[in-house]
Amino acid sequence: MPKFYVSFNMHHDYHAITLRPLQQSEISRTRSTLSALTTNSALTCTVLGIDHTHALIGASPALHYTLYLFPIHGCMCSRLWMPPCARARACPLARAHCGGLELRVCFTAPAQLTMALASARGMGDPIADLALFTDKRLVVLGGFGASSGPHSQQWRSIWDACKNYGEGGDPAKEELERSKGCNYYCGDCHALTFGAPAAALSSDATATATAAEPEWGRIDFGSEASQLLQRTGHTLTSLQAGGRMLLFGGRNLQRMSRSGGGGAEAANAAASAAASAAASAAAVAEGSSSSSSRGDLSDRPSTAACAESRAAWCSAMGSGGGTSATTGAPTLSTLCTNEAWLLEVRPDHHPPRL
Amino acid sequence: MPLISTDCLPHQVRPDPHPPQLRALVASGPAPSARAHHSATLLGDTLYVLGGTGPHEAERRDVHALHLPNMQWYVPHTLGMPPPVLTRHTSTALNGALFVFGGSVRGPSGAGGRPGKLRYSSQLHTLAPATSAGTAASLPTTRGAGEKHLPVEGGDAPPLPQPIQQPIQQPMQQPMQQLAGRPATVRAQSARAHSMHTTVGHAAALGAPRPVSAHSHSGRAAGAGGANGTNDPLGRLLVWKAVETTGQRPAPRAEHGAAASAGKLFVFGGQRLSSARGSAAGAGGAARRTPLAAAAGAAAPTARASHDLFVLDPATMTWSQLARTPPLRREACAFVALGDRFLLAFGGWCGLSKGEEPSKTAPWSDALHALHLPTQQWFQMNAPGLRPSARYGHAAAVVDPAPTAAHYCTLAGEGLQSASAGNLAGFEITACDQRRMPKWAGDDP
Repeated sequence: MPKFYVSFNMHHDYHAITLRPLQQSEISRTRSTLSALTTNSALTCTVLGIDHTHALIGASPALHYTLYLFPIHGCMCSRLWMPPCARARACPLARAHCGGLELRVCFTAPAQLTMALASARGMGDPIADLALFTDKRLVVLGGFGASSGPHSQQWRSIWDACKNYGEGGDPAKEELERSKGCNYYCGDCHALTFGAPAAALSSDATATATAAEPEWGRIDFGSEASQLLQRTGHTLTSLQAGGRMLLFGGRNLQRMSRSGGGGAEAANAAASAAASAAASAAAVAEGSSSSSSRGDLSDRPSTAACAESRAAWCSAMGSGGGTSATTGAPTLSTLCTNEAWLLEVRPDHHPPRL
Repeated sequence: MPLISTDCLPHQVRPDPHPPQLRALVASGPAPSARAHHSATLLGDTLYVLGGTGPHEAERRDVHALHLPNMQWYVPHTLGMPPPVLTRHTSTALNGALFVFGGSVRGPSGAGGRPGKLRYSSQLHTLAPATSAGTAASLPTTRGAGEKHLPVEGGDAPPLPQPIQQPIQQPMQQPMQQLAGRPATVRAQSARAHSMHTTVGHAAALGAPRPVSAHSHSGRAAGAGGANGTNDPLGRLLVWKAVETTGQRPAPRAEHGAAASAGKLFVFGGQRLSSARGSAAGAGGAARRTPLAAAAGAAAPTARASHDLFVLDPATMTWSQLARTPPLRREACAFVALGDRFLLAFGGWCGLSKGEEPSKTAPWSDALHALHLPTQQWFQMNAPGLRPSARYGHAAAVVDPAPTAAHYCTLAGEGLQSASAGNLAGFEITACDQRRMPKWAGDDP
């Protein structure tokens, strides 16, 4: 959960404090400013910063919290709403000085935030708790592995060969990944939902959560994207903004050049250049159509960029055969990539505002 | 295309109006070089890419950052000593810092081109923006630059690489914990950083840097400074700190999983060394990597997957081990947090048990286990639908695409009760969606 760090300082007048995601530098600056403030007769709440900025940002880019802390002495107090529990937990110092504290949390829009002080959370039931995450998705992308079908057991022979002709131990993962015929790189993307998506339920905002069962589904980015996703050792990072994720890096040992390191380096360079070219082309296209570019995401159709990158990968890998651990000298050359792809499970057509 | 096939979601009768998209990221600045087994973690508005392996299994220990508001890659300024190992490690955002744990580094190749031996790390480092009163200075750690490394397990591997100090605009040798008394020049730079922040913000609104082609460069930090755009656009500094922990520390490992939830750091599974005796007594010696030593019958430690779960309390930097874990040992699995309630582990390399015929099973898994944190109860989720096949080396993330309903957001905290004038008080703002459900970030407590 994001935490806002708040400092209470005594002031003459009330202040409207905007709670917004702050940069780390802003936090330090505000803190240093606060240290110079003098204590006076009224209570002022000053936001020092938010510790986990992205958590809130991802939740609502346009959300703008405003925290009003009103003076303790004044007629406004009686007209302000405050939950009894909050009143009871009001600052002891303020109560001692002024006999009461009015606190109101407002939203810049007409809607008013509900203030609730922390309540002790029960132990909870695991199944019931899953209903808390009905709109969340666990996205799984890429990897290496074969299903248990009859046509996907080539790894067995490699496994046995490594056991028999190797040093007796189980083969390393890399041995299987680079072995010819063991192209078990997964070019798919799956999502686990923890209940019925909100879009599928009633549009009534007051609808309560349903304890629907988790369910796997497949996210299909098109056939062109399949080869791009065939990698291991990559990262998938949630950008906390509208269901965006960033896919970066990884390797595919099946795309390793037979010529070894030089080929692998060339392949790496080709793949990187292709990704850069695709990105640049997209940037040029975007820049020509709009002057408000802010280093934004490409509007280029994903299939075109995928095709370019896939072509580079495929041309770099040559015939696609890796150096078998059982037939040739092993090489540590790998085909890595520095491509960065943005996955959006629900694009909102707005750039990430962080 | 539908997000999820309709035949697996019978209640979803309408096609998804927002089909998934895969788009190339357009960003200015020097992109990180090609790599794998790195980490990419979001901290604030910046994505940090740490280490990894490049072509020829070259270990990298560099730090790259992607400033998301400007979509700009840059090489941030770092101070302090980075971890000796930044490959197959984990990096987790927690309390305003990246907690970097574990990893492995491979020694030089042996005769016949055999891969070198692996050494594993159990070190915990933090990488945090430097602030005079911020997290980087307040973490109860640490050792500064020039001090000794914590031990790394792994036998006769080569010496660990030397620390890297990435470029900065001005020479700054002192660790950031000394910034309270930093010289005037540093203070001036810090003040300039604040002003730069405001300036950059306006610049971003007016027009961002023109997207340029990403290009690779050496994993070692470039020597140039801000002239080539490798500096932090906000002028921030990052500080590496080695964390001295107490309690029941996890063993050195790599390709493990780590996640932050409920304000704590969890480390799960991974590949680690264990004795042959332990292997035989355990899960059948799965995933052995190194040959046994012949001397005196003593069994050399072998690498194998593990299934232990450790938790670090960042307030006290104390490790503890959770007793209950699933029986499945795994490495290179996906391990993510679902709010402050669940930890999810999917897939991974589990090896083959001794005596087990490969034809009967596979060394990788498709099991999805979940740990319910309030009850510390593990259970296996057998969700229906189009489930992913067994795999390892994949990546996973929890996303929250639901829109936020402001009128259901709440402010919570004990600050009013405990705080007095001039003191800090912590509040929590819970962003909720239109179903009144909290919008969990997934990887941030």
